[in-house]
Amino acid sequence: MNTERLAETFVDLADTLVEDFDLIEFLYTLVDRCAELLDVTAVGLMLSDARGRLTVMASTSEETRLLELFQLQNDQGPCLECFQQGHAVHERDLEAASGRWDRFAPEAVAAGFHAVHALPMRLRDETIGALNLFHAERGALQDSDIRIGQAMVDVATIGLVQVGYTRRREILLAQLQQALDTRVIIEQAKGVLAERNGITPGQAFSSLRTYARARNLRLSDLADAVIDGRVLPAGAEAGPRT
Amino acid sequence: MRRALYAHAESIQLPVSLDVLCRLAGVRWKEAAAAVSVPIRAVGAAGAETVAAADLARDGEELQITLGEGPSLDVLVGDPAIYLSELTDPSEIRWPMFAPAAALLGIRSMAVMPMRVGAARFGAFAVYLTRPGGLDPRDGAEAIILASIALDLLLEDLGPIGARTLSAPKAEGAGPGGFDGSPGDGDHGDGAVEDRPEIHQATGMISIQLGVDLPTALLRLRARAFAENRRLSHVSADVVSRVLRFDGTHPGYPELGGADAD
Repeated sequence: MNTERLAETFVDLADTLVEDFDLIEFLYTLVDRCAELLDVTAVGLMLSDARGRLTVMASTSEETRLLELFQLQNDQGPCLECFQQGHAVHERDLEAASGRWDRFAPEAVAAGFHAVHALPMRLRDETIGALNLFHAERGALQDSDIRIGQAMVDVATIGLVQVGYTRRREILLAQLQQALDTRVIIEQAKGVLAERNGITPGQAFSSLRTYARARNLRLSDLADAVIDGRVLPAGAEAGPRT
Repeated sequence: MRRALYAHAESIQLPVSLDVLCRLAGVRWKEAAAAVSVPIRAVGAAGAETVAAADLARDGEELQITLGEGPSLDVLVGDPAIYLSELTDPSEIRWPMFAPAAALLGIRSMAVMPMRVGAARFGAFAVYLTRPGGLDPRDGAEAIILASIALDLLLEDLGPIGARTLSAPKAEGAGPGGFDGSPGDGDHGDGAVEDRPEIHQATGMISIQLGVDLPTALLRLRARAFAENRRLSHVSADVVSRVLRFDGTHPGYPELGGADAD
């Protein structure tokens, strides 16, 4: 473990948490750093809505197969267990775990993963989501790695709560709902941009991130502007229009 | 919560509807009345229409529409959920006409939640209370779930075919509207509308193909899935992978040009 890089990561994340920060970009940075620091193959952050459905808020790859694995965990898998039971779930050998998860385990193996971890995202006494770590090789994470992973999830939680202003639970739920809505808006904007520029939604997402970073825009604000037709990043003439 | 809605509909011998949902709110929460309002797009300006309401909530929504201001109207044009714990609080200056007028009707606190799919805004779920303080945390959490069920019902109502898959889920548990499971499934993912990235991406793509807004694009997508008796996510995947277009032209990536054209 590169402790210098670890410290740097937490400083970076803390620096990002200013007022009016970009929640989605923050969560994407967080999962990328998680994959790097813990040396895992893929990472996704799942958040629950008020009805208990888990949705991917950020992942290290937009690859369909990985997204399917996240989605599948609404029915079975480590994230569902972690979310329902409120504690970390580990499986060091997915190939031998089809008895545990008859659909999830074979799908994960087919996608090239052999070990999986889910760490709970806790807020007060509730679990509101989970951090999902996939590894291409068999084996368990070391305790120290799990502690770092858990610290990263806790930072993600702080990020989600940071947007808010209140201690009231129902308002907090509304706030989490809004974060989930933001994620949907970005998917819709990816569709709009993909269609306008004749690219895939994955490419559209890269264009959106690049454009937002270059102009210091929040991803969610840019997505709104793309949907409204005010901005068209890359492809055709780029640049904000009024 | 879905189960409670079906039980309530049965107890008052009415089919499940937004009206029944509003009535349920009045039964579950003390001194509360609920309403669902939708934007009127044709008007251009911030118009609204109340499509379901119980008692006091109908008066409250009417008041907002008449005065042209109020929390439901703000939520309909894009504000996040609004919680008002004391309408007569003098520091509450956001709605100078609505707040005092509503207080005269006996309304003391409110909670208004958006009914939206990302940037596609379909309505507002408003709860009016005759006591200060708003909904308690447990009721507030229920209200958020009820607002999301109200959205499911509204989308069903807006479907061009008017199909009510919600009240009659298919035996195999995958209704054309994309509902998984039966109404009695409990609260975990209970019969909820499919919520997957490709559905939202396809909605965005269709809005450009047809030159329509996102709500219209989503309704067209849902209608197609219903007409073809397929899951919403499957039809969406076809749109995203360019197998299916909604504007009648040939599918395929523009840069692949003639690949599909000839």
